Amino acid sequence: MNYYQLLWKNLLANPLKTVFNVMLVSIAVSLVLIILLINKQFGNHLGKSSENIDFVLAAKGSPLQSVLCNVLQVDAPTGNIKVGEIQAFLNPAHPLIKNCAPLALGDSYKSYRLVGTSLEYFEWQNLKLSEGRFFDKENELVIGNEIAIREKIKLGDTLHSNHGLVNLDMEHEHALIVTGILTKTNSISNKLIFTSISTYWDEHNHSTDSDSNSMHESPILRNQDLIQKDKEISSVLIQFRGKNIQTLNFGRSINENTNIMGVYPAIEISRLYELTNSASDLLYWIAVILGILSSIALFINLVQALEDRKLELAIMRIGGARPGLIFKLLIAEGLSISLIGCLFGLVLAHGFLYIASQYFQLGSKYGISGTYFMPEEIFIVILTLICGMFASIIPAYRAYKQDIASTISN
Amino acid sequence: MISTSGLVKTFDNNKSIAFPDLHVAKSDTLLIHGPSGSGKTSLLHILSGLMRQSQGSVDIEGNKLEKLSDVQLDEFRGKNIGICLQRPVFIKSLTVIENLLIAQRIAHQNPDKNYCMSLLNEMGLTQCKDQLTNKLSQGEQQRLMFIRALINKPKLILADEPSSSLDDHNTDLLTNLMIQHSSLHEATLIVVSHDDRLKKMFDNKILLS
Repeated sequence: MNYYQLLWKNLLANPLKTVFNVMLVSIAVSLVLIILLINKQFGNHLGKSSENIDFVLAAKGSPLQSVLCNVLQVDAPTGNIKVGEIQAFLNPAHPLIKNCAPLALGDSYKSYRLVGTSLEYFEWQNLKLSEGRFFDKENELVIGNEIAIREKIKLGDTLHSNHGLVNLDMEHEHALIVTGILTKTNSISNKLIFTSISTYWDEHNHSTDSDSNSMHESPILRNQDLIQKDKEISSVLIQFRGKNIQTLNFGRSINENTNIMGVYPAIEISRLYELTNSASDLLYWIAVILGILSSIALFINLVQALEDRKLELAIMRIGGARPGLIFKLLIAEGLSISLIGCLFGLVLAHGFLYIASQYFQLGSKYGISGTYFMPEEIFIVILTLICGMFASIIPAYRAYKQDIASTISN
Repeated sequence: MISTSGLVKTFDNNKSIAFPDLHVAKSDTLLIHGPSGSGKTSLLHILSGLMRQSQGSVDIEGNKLEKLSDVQLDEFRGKNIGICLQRPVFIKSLTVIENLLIAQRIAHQNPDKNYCMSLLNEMGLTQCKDQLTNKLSQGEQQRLMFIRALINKPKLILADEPSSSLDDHNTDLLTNLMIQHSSLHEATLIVVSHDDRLKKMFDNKILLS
């Protein structure tokens, strides 16, 4: 029989009270952690999705919507822009532009977005194939890793895309064939379907004009192939060669002098962050208040437990226990409850996010997974232990100062 | 073995009690008898080192309690004094045997299960060893408390009103058991009580008034 066994038996002696205390701590910890994990992972996701995209050219409209649509792939396009308006930027000799890729958006397959783009996009975003090859003809597709797994799509499978971004809209009649599957990444590419811009145009030609069977003479695979076409696309993503005063003026000059809109994703994403931050701050403070309440409840329960066990502790003192031992035992009880509650809270938070990310596809949409661990979690453990320590320090001190003679006389 | 001289306790309300001097030899027994409020329990607390006297001295086998620091006093009490309270109190979460083992640990002794079992056997409590203490009868709890007082082989056993909640039969049984086993384990026994039934069972008595 040692003091650890005594501690454990004391915790088990009042299982309901112990479970209640552990639950309070674990709920508070898991809430704080869920909010922090979501914030952190969402922030990482936003950062990663827009990592090397410095600028977006799109139809005039809401700049935020344009970034949401073209960079984060969560909103509808602001409209179409004529190739003629942007062809200067597709020139590889452009002095400011290092990388760029046109995007044609607006179609989907089972709610996965179909993105018409050029092969430069894959090179720029460093997207590799896990199997198959990139499209080199019309009606060929490269799909994200998650879609292949979720929808059980293999190389050579055919699918029909929908007009619009939801599953309810009209289906295009043309069958598209899967020629490549991308490797898994931490970005939105996992849940995107890529094809050539010309495939996109063809889909729409067939849909809107059934008499026209005009296929393109050659598929548009590279940025250069796009120049001189009298067609429309949704946007152009751009990475500058460097960031300087010219790149800053670039956006203003486009917005003032042309009919298209230029947007810096970094600015819009920080605006988006500000908008969502106040809501997550509120949730965070609710969780912190819950944490404080659970510490107070733990404190009240420990004071109550001390009253119930006054004589027991007196008996230990009579048997030769020093006041310091009693103090340490009570602190250890508070710390144990906090530690167990905290560990449960960690499991609960990660478990909740794991299940939620599976059910609501938070992983691919917002980059949220249950298996992501933050270094800050160790601070949450330490903070919880400090709270447990504070909650038990007053009862422990009272036990430490207990007058044994008067306790047993009463 | 234990002797006191000139003990006086002054309480917060300035009330003072002067206690008669005690001299009890090793393995001997003593009954301190007196009505409520006569200071019996205060004397027991002073003898056990749970309360400091205002004046006078307590000597247990050459150790003057008033010279020991609080920490030394706790250690001395754990090793040398066993105490039976008026009402049996145990650590509720532990079984009978665990209460005895932790009592040894608290007194800085190595837990000795065999010795615990031999004492339980002596007092007829072997079958209760794995029960929680609140499942025991009143008489069994009183006996267990006496075992706990004996567990660290003390030189002195102090009992505070041990018979207050027992009927005549159980009072005789417990008191005889305490007298016999204190002497068997070479411990001095001092009982503090207002119970007249105990008077006939002790040769040495001191009356507090």
